[in-house]
Amino acid sequence: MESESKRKKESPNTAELAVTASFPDEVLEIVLSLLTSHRDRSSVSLVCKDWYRAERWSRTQVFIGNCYSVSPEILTRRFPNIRSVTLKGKPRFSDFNLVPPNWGADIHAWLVAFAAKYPFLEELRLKRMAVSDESLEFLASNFPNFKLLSLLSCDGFSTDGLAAIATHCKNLTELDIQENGIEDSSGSWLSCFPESFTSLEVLNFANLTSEVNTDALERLVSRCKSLKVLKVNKSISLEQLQRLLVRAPQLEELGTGSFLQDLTARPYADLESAFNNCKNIHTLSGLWEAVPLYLPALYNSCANLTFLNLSYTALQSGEFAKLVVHCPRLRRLWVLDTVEDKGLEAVGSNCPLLEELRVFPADPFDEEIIHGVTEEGFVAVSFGCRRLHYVLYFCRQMTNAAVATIVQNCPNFTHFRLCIMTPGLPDYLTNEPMDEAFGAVVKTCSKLQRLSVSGLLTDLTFEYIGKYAKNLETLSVAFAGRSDRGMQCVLEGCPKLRKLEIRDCPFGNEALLSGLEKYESMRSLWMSACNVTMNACRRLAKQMPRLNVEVMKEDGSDDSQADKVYIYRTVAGPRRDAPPSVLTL
Amino acid sequence: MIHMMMELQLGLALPSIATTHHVRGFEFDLNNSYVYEPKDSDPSSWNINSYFGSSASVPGKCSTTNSSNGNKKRSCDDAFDYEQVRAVPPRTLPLFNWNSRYPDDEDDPRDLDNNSSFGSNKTVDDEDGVHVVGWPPIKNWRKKLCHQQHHIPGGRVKNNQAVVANNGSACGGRQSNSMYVKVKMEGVAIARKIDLTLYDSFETLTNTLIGMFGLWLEDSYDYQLTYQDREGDWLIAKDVPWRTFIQTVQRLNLSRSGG
Repeated sequence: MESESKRKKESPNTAELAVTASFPDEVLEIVLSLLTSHRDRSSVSLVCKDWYRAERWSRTQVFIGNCYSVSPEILTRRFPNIRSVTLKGKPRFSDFNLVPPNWGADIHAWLVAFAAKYPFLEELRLKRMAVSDESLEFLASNFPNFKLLSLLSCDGFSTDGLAAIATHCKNLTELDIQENGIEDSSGSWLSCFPESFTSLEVLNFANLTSEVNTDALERLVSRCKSLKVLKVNKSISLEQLQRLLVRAPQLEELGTGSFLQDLTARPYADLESAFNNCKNIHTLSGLWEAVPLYLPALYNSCANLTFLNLSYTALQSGEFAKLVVHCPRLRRLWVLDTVEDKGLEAVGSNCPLLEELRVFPADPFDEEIIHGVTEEGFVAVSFGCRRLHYVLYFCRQMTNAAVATIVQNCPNFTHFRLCIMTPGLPDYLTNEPMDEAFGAVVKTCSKLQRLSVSGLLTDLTFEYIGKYAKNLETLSVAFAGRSDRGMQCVLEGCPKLRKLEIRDCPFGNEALLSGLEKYESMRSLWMSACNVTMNACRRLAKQMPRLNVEVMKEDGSDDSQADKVYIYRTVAGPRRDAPPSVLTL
Repeated sequence: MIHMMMELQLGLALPSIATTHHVRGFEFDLNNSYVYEPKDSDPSSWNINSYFGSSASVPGKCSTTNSSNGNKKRSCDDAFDYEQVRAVPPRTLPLFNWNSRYPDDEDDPRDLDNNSSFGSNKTVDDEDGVHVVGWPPIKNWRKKLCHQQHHIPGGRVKNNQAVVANNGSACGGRQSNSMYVKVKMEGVAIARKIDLTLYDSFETLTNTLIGMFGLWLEDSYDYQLTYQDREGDWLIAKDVPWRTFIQTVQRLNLSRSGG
């Protein structure tokens, strides 16, 4: 990689170009095929025509962050040898119901193009795409080498589609179905894996709800000797889990089923021994409805855990603290806020290697809950876990001083996502805006790539961000700011900004239009419930033909207001599959 | 109108969002920093029945009738009379109750600057109550996980349970031996929380409430205790047996007569 970029700088005159031109293409392709980073590959392709050509022929993986930024035709024309595709579709705020249904991002047209141009496609990773059963059937039948399917936050399909995959994909190694809006009609899809099928390495169906045939699952697990990742759903009981573990001691990542069962002594001992036998487990999740009584069965397994995901189960602080004592090697931890500050203190005391913490709210809409976590828990973790660099924290109160302390302890944050759940809430001790908190974050954490802000914020927060957050790539803003100036500061100041998503802020046309050139260097901009008008959007669309400017109107809103705006750069022109609720300007 | 908005900006900054649903009326959650006291009151919104007294229907704010969406909303005028609001200007700032009724867009102090509302944002009235679409930013499937947790039948139980009840709670039921509900008293900024498992009758409950809000016993007769049940309806506490009350109460309100 180093030599590649050095060479880029050293190509000055024609004599030297003649020398490099005689460098055999095949060798160049082999060298370039070692490059995996998408950014490196992009750089390489810009060097000269030969390198562009070599890069396109040698590339086997492609990552498309916005499925509408390019078309299947353009993609397949440029890259003839793709084996692995990653596609992301809808804007992230679709996760929170802010995007109308049938918005788009349908995979089918892509699959049709791939069937023609990439018949040897092996891997497909989709995020926030619309996937139908028909598409899954098409996928299963048209790609004989297909190995890996990962669907994250997708919707539109049912377990029938999964049945098609299980039935036809003879070489499947990975089936990862996460967090999807899936219609789960029956668990019989799992029984569709033929008895001759043995190649599975990753199986994740944790978020499905129907019962699967446990015999079929046991047989599947028994014969797939390379199975490394198994994440079952809630319908699998503890006893069934024990039988699975016994058949797969080589597992590295485990998602348990329900942890709630009346186990007598013998089955409990069996469970514990089954866990002890799985010496390679480094990732643990599931634990639905975990009863503290059975958690000790895990204690020995916890010694080697690097990732513990307890975000599906409401553990209290005491039982959680007892568990976490056994997890000294933890690097990533996801929990519910039922563990409270005391639980987080235990994390600070026991997990010095922690790098990532996510605390989700157990009852986000219940104002009567007096539990949950506060700034104290976060501060406690920061004192004990100096390597912390990724945080997602939902809380009901925060102070500027606490955040300042936190980033002083942990200056290496790359991802800082703080959600104070009441919009516009000030520092509860001083009653001041939370500007200084995020100011401290951006001043101290020079490596910051992703930031989500919350609480009462004036334009000052955005001045800080524009001035200091030089590595910021993704910014999420809600219920914040005072004037256009806020957004302008960010657009002018953050050179690496790629994704900006804004909702319910007083940013208007002046702010929108100040970013004209900027948007071409970004992946996308989302603005909803702000002060942007249709005319401003039209002006933007007119001046910047390489941007798609899409507006989604709400029922009954003023004709001149652009309620939701989604702007993204594209080489594919305006899309033709937009539903009536989405206007392309 | 401008005068009204200035009052709001001074003391009662409300969340910005214009709604397309024209939710009328709103409820303050004054757990935030400051105090506001209406100088006078619109008699129609205060209850002039005595505390634990008659079972006359409560006009204005409270109602014993069901409505299809369970929203018992006062109009802005009933809630308080703007002319008489005497706000103590705090150093801040927004004051909201995002889990409850939603303000009209004209109440947004930030409108003062550009005189336009924020643009629409839907409120959603679902089992979780009335709240803003997509906030807090939690994925749907995760919200569903804890949904049953939020609506355990019969409220939080009094007795501790060693093993989680098999009620299908996806989050692994919260074992709790307390039952906190919020208590709001008219004219008092800060709502309080009270553990209902500590009481076994309206008498003991109200005695505590009197003490909690610093009322003199004589004054307490001016107050009526009402509660919101699981369907969102506001009912008079004394109208139902204690057992019924305990199983269905979500929050309490002490309202008083004018003067």
